[in-house]
Amino acid sequence: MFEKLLILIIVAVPMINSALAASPTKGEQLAWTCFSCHGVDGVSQGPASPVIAGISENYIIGAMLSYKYADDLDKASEILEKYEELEDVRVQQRFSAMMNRIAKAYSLEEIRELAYFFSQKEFIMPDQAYDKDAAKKGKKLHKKYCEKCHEDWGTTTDDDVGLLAGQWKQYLTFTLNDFASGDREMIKKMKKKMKKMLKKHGDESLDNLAHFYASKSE
Amino acid sequence: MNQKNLSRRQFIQFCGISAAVGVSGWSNVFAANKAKVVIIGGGAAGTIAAKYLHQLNPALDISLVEKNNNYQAAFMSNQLLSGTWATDKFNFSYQNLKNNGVNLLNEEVTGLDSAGKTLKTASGKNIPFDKLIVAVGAEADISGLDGLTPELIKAQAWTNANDVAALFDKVKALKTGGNVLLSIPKGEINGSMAVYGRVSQIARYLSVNNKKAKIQVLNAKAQNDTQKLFEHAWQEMYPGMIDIQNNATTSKIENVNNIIANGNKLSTDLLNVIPPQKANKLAKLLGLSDDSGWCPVNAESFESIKIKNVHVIGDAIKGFAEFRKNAQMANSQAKTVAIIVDSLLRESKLPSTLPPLIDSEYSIIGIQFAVSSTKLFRLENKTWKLQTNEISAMDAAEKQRQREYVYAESWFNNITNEMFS
Repeated sequence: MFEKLLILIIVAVPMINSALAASPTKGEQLAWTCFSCHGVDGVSQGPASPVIAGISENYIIGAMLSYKYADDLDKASEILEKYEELEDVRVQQRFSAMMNRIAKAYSLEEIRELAYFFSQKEFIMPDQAYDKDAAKKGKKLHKKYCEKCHEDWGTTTDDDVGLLAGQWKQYLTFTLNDFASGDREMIKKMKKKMKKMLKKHGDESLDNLAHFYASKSE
Repeated sequence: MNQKNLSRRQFIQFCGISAAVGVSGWSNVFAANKAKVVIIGGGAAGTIAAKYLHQLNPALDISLVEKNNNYQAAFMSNQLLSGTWATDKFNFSYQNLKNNGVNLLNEEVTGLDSAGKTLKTASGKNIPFDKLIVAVGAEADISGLDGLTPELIKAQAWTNANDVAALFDKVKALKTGGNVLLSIPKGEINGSMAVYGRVSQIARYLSVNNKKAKIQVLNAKAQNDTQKLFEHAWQEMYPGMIDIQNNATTSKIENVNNIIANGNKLSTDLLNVIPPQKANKLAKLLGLSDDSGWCPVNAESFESIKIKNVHVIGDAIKGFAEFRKNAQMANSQAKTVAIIVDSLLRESKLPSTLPPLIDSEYSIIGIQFAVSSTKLFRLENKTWKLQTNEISAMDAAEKQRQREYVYAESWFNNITNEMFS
């Protein structure tokens, strides 16, 4: 009898493990919808839709709410005030080609599930072409104007900053230009640094930064 | 494995899972483990359904039945018409699906025994299933237009990137100042925006290489918002080249140069009649389509209304209000049906919640210039409800068009990577 039970266990345990343990959560199932544009697990194949794997939870929630409430950002802030645990989430004006349409369909609860899922995935840096001289210039610019907040050459998400190192160059160029043109809102200290950089180094500096980050900040 | 491998931890795990599953749950767990899911069709819907079912339950026995050895994407293939992309970009191998726990059966399906839950193939095989997912796509309806032949269908280049490449050769060979005539059918077609994308890409090429050429478009439908957006862009980018007539029905195709439309005989140097569409003939053979030519399904399960335990997804379905037929929608439906089928096999009931369906189409109009349209559906009260429906603005900034252009390529790269990596 004991032997039979043992055999049952030996056969059954791995089967049950695979049948139950590996089952994706509802949040993961929700995230699948994003894969066709942002890549499997948020690792975009490029050339423009950004990698969203490994981004901080607060950053993703902030981005999604900024898109969802693009026409009424105050409303997003009002909603956020109700949740103590979301006090570090920041909404901002963002230029959007597609996400304004998509974000509307998700509830805050779902957005939080999506953010959790993608934040747990590994940011895999794509290999992409970049100009070495431009990247060299970009490195100097990063050190002078960006490193204070985007620490370790833009490789960290500490304080919910965006991951820069290894992001798709096309996306970085779009985003940096949006910041410079005012199509995307910046916090005060970034605005100050950006202004300084553009005054001294011109629009070319944006491009140089994009090349540097595309080099995986090497 | 032998008895020595049994660890204390495994035993505790077994007891714990026993408690969690409960006595009645055991039979379902084992049933789900042994369950056979067969998917017909290795396109945008079938590959994704297979892949995600395996993720939902790696113990499932999943087979993908596909008669072709390799896949060639048709979506985005209008990019071939301006010479922007080459056919290589559309060709993919099924080999990686095997690494994702899917049995690849290179077979042609010839019949279905619905009572015995068995598929029959041309090579004489019987393939048993517990659940069948049919993702066979759409095809030209040869009886839908007077004069259509298999050769003429191929020449219209609507379902295959190689055919589109052949059409591009004809565009290149068009005589100086020649005339292209494109006709849009009345019924539903796959890639609804793509007809306008096709006109745009031909214009893009001709505006540089054959400036005096003209493109005449006969649209059997009335003008819609999508068309207005394209017409607006054409006026700006290809002024005077494109003439579009609405409510103009092509009733007969006579040969590669002549058609009859609105009772008049029309001749052209290069004809491109988009044929009327219906579900792939396999859908009819298996008894899944109705008089409309499409396969009716239940909204909340995508299960066929005609045959139990058979789910139909992608272009072949008879859609619900405002569903369109495109690769993105097929991808979205496939993930949804994977969740549904897994739930039915595990718990004999439908899942409590489902993700939204995203129905989105990009269309390239010119260099660094694209537009798109996005719809989102959510299941509410057992039906899919349109939640958002947005199209690129008529007066959008140049940088919006530019971004949609590169996001279109990003979408193509990511969706095909998802299918075949």
